[in-house]
Amino acid sequence: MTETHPHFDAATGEQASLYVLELLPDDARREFSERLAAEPALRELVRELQGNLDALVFSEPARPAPLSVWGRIAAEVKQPEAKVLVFPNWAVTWATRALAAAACVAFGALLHAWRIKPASGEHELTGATQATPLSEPAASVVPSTTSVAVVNPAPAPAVTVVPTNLIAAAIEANVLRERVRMLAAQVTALNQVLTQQAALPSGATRMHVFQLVNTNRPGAVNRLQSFEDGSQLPDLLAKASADQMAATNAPRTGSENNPASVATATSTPVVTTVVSTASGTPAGQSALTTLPPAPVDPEAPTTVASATDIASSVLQPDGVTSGLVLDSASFNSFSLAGGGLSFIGTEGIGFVSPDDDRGSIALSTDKPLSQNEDYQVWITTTGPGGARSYQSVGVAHAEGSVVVLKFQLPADAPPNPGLMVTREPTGGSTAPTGPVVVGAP
Amino acid sequence: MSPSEQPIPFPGASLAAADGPGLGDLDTDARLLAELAAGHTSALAELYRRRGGALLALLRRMLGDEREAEETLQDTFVQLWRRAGHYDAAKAGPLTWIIMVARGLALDRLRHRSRQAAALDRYSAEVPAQETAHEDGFTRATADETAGRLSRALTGLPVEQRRAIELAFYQGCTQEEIARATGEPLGTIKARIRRGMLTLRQRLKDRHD
Repeated sequence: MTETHPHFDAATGEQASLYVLELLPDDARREFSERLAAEPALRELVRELQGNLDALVFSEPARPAPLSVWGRIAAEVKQPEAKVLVFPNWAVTWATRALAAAACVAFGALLHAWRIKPASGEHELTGATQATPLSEPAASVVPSTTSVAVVNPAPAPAVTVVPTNLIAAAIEANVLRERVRMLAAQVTALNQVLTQQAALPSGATRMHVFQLVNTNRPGAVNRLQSFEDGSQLPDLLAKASADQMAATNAPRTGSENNPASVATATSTPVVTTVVSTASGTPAGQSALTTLPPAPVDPEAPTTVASATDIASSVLQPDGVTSGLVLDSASFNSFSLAGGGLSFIGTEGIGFVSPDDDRGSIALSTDKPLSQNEDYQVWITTTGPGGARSYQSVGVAHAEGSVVVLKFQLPADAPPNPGLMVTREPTGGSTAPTGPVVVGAP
Repeated sequence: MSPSEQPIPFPGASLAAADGPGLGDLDTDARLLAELAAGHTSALAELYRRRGGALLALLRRMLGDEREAEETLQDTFVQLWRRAGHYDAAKAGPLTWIIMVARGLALDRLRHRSRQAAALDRYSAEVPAQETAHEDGFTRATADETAGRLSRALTGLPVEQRRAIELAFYQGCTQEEIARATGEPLGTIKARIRRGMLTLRQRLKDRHD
């Protein structure tokens, strides 16, 4: 019988329940508290009943709490001596949504440009890759004793392949610049929100845009520019996108003996944006300046492996005392926490729109698919005990060395999934079997 | 090293470590409360990241208003910051204490604005929809075993028991008020709350074991 307790009568069980729900009148509550102090078994019962309330609250699906509320909290609890105010991890994701939106709009502009201005001549598509309809085998569930579980994709949306030479053409088109420029107001608004919500102790905000360049050696960083407001960010993003596509389309002629050519020819540049405060700046005065791009010394590049390294190697020497990383580009990291921009590996960059769960992954690979292979996109989640689950998003075939896969996350996609692309036999697999192209297994 | 002298902990590198739904590691909550009491603002940020979303969902459900829910969430974390030193582990688990701080502030708002009657009406109208929504939530939660276990335990309760508990918890209704709202005798309500709480406790315990 579960409605009674072996050690307590019904009246005590009722009192304990009401105590936990804070429904006992004051006198009864005091009396019950005295019993609690004297009866360990009763305390244990109350603790278990309190667990019911935890269950009530945390059984509900929850979105991350908004950054705006955190900003107000931070402002209210801020103390003069507290120079370092740490931001919640998810704030990274929130802030990247604006950048993700920018990326998605830019991506949409690419497609729009392609549609309204058919490519011709050198930009004409040859051997265009067609979207391959999914042919999903029935999913199966691996026994729970294994560390891999497969979630049945039903029905898996299609993954389509975007011809990359058209993307390159679109990048060159003015329409892209105009479309991207429209994001300036949005980015400026983001800066304002960040400045207000971050409740920075003092000083002004400085935005750094880094271009992280992955070479055959540990990562290298090149600070492209620091600027006062977001008006230049769209241009920077457009330039970075163009550079990236140019780099990934370039012949792979680099070698470890020639760092400069390695960085140019085989890199996948990633833009990382950091908003930071500079110390020693009187409040209310702008210390924001447009700094000249830091030259890259190919012989001795600044080694950066993560946002933490950016902080220690660049920001702290620059007098930064507090800040907020909008996006990190740890080369092996991948995360879609909350949706938005995601970097998923040295040979791929992925975007998922937080608004409609549409996503795209750009791949650069030395080993194009063979005739009997497909790319398969997976969303991954980590459950209790580290067990990984994989849900197929779709399958597509493309044989180029630079491939862009477009997809729509399924409606039942779990929150905060990761992304992974594998090579699979034609038609795809029910669980990842082939080598991972981007993402983490 | 004082809190303010610690290295800048840029959060971007540990994005993937963000918690999903579920109760998670209660020891971490206890540690964070202790760090809050010691004045570590980083602990407040971490606690907000871990628990802010679920607390906001609770407050949203209690208050039925997004803006008020966010205001109360703000008040909650400010209270946690100021009152963490008063947390007594002998009286409540860390998560329960956090929840009760949020709930208490929400109930203050409900009482102050005399919304209880309206809330009861709204709740009565919402019950069927919430039952359905919970099924959907359960389906989505299959990726998270913890949330799945909790959902199954809750949905396994008889509807009238669950409803009585939820009215008491979410709306702060007394037994008498629940009796009036449901048209049931007071003794029946008392029995439902008792049975529901003990049954839920046993089910969660069984699943945990």
